[in-house]
Amino acid sequence: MKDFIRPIFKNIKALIGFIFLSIFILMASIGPLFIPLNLTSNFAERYQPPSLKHPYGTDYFGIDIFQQIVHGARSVIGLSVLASLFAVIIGSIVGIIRGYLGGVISKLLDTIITIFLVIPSFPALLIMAAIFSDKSLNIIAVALIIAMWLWAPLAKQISAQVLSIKSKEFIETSRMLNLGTPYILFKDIMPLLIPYIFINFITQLKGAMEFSVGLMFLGLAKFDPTHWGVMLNYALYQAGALYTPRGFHYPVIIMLHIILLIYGGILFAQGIEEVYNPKLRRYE
Amino acid sequence: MSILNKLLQIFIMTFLALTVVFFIVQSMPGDPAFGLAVSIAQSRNMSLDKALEIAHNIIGYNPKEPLILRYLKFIRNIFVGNFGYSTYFKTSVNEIIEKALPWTLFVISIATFIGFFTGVTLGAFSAQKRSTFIDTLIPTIFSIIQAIPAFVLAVFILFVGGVKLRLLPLGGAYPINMNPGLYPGFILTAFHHALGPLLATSIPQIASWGLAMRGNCSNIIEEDFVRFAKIRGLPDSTIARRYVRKNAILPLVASLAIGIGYMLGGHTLVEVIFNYPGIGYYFGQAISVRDFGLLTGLFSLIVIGVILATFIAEILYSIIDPRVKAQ
Amino acid sequence: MRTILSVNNLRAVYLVREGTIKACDGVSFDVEENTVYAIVGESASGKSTIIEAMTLTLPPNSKILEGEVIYQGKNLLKLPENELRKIRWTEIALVPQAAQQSLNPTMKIIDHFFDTVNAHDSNWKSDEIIKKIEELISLVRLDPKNVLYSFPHQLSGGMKQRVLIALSLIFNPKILILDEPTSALDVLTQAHIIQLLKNLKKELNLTLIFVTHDIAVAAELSDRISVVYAGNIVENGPTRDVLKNPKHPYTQGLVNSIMSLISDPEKIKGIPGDPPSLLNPPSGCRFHPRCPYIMEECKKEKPPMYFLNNNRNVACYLYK
Repeated sequence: MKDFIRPIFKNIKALIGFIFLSIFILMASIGPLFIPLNLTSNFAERYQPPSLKHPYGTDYFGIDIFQQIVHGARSVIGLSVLASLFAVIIGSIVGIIRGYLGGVISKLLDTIITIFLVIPSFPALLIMAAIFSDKSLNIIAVALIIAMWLWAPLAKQISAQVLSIKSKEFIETSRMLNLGTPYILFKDIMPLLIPYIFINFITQLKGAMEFSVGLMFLGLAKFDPTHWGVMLNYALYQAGALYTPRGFHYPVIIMLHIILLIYGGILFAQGIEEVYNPKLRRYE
Repeated sequence: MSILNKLLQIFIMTFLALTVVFFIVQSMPGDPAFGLAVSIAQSRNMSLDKALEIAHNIIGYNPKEPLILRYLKFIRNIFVGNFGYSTYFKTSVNEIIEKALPWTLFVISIATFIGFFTGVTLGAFSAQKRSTFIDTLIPTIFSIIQAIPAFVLAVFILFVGGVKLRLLPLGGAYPINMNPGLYPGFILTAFHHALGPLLATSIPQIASWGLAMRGNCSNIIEEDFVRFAKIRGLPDSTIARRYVRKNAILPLVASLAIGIGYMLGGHTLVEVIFNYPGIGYYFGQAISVRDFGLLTGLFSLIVIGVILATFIAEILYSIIDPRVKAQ
Repeated sequence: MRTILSVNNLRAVYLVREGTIKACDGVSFDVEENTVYAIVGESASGKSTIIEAMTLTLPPNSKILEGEVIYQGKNLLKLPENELRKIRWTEIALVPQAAQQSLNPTMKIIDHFFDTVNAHDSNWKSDEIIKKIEELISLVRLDPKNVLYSFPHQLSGGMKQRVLIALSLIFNPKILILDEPTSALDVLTQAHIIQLLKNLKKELNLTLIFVTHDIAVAAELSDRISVVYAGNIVENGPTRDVLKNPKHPYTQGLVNSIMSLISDPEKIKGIPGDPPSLLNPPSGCRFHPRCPYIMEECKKEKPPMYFLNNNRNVACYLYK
């Protein structure tokens, strides 16, 4: 395990990415413990620029933006991680089955995967969110809905990988030794896929985050008012920040955090890829 | 022989995808004709039941019909080009498509054009200047751009361009008092109105095509045939052009068509933010007012667009890559 | 016969995460004009590195530490770029390993020739060029009409190899260096290529230098042979003499391990032990861990070349 982790931290991209991510994770996990959430409006204080009392300023209702961001981090990160996790699990299982088994099952799965690939994810997501908008949602349900439109590309790639691994000799050997399908799947094939799946998980985070924030931004499936997407929605549509130059910091700060979080993820993923794909390395 | 095969595949794929579309939308709660019926009943002073009947006729949808029949009617309609009826806008979806599709295509194709050519040039340039500052700067900038979700960029542009700098109009494809036509004044103002969506769509593309091209070029630079070209004494400019870039750009060209296909649907947020009346904008409207007819129609259009684009991409690729031409 | 190329004390390394791979460790040899010179060794013995270092075609993560390659009185390793370009391809040409991947997949064969010609200042007119190209293709026993207007993927491995050879001959170079010219080919094609090289050498008065792991090919084709082990040349001499009467323990082991149609299977032995790591090579003589005649001094310092007579030498303390 250590051999797996140590080279990652020697890579500068992965390191910086990890630092970014950690800051946000810290914010999400222990932030709310230290910073109380006070959602009472205080119109006298609205649109205050950043100051010592309000590090990020206040919004249309006079509520401190910093505390909202900190609390929202939980929803944002939690939702994205869950959605990514579900997508990766579904994608891996489908991909491995499709790659390993042949015949009718493989063709059937193939068709299903292609359908999900062909149907554009975001519009479909919007429709599904609209379907469920009348029902109250929790984070797991939303994560599942998002995951439904993320798993297909991963399944396709994993099945291609499995196909190429399947034809390698050491699998033949295991088969001839009658080691049984579960063994072949878990001991021979899986270990080769794990770094790939892991990198994919991190990359999916970006997509999951975009989808989730986009979804909230349009006002669908909001389950938490401090989710940054929802905040952005308020900033633009409810609070009319668009027309008040004073309130410029409100959406900007939200957008900045979204960008930094995603960028941290991207850097981290790029760094890991560099470590494990020698072609990407630079020579010193 | 294989073209027929391909066409068959596409046919089946479209069929299946539309089926899924149909059933997804069908599972939305509510009777799509309800709103229409209410307004009919009010304006003509008739009972709601009667109005419902009329409304169902207009839309071509009868909830009492078995699902299968509705499904078959839907499929038949699509294949003759009838995309349904919009209860909110009270016109056929086809009319809305006629109005909106040109604008979406306008923005998407120009944005892709700009994004592709700028991105590919910068990407190839960056790969050439390997291990120099430029090759650290450009990919980093591109990565940062990629970290910005498309709509965040759009909001930012709207804010900075529209509010602060007052450069952008606040919506529409052209001013109300102008008549559309192919004269310079109109073309100019059309571009002016499309500026926001154009920027928001082309900038992420510059980044993604740039990174992809740089990646391809970097990989190809290590290939044996590039090495052999250097050994033969070929000048760097020739190698860059005919050996590296030519090979690097091939797979990208195929993705172009596919990208445009997906953008039809993915453009929704950008159009909503800029109030730009393209397919995505109406899709957003359909969702917020639960106009199922419009939703189904537009969604079907988008799916067909993706399938078509994928098909075109495959044909394109087989034409330009000599290795595939043999088939 | 006079020496056309001289390599003196060439040392080159590869830089990797774990350290440096000392792949070429002080290699020296002379090549005489109009001969065929073979450099023979196992895989990863550093023989390709010698060629790459000589022709300055090493990959980016490597470095030439010291040495000279003397051609026409000049050290090629220290020549400025523009002078090097004049010599490269026009006087010394290289046919690299992996013929399969050395051609641009999106360019026709004839365009490869045009590119090469245009890259060097020559005052040839276009019909002259085409004529010359067709001659060359015929010279390597290929059909110009078929081959020239094809793409690389339409040609077989053997055909591609011949195209590479034709490409290398376009300016009538004096020296042709080939890296594993027959390795990826089946036995029949190998035989054709060997025959082709023999003919070319005669018809064009070439000097050939080639690297191979196949001793049989070296035996058939070359006049002189150098045996490489772990980055060092351990034995030099006329091919027949060296193979019939190997002096270095490694060469002896090598010769003994070859199978031929007439040899007695009982007499075939391998060489015990494994090839050494070039990252941390053994001290002194790099062969000492596997040598049946090992002596104390072998472990301490690398043996120099001892001359047995005018044209044979061995790097082994047995011949002090």
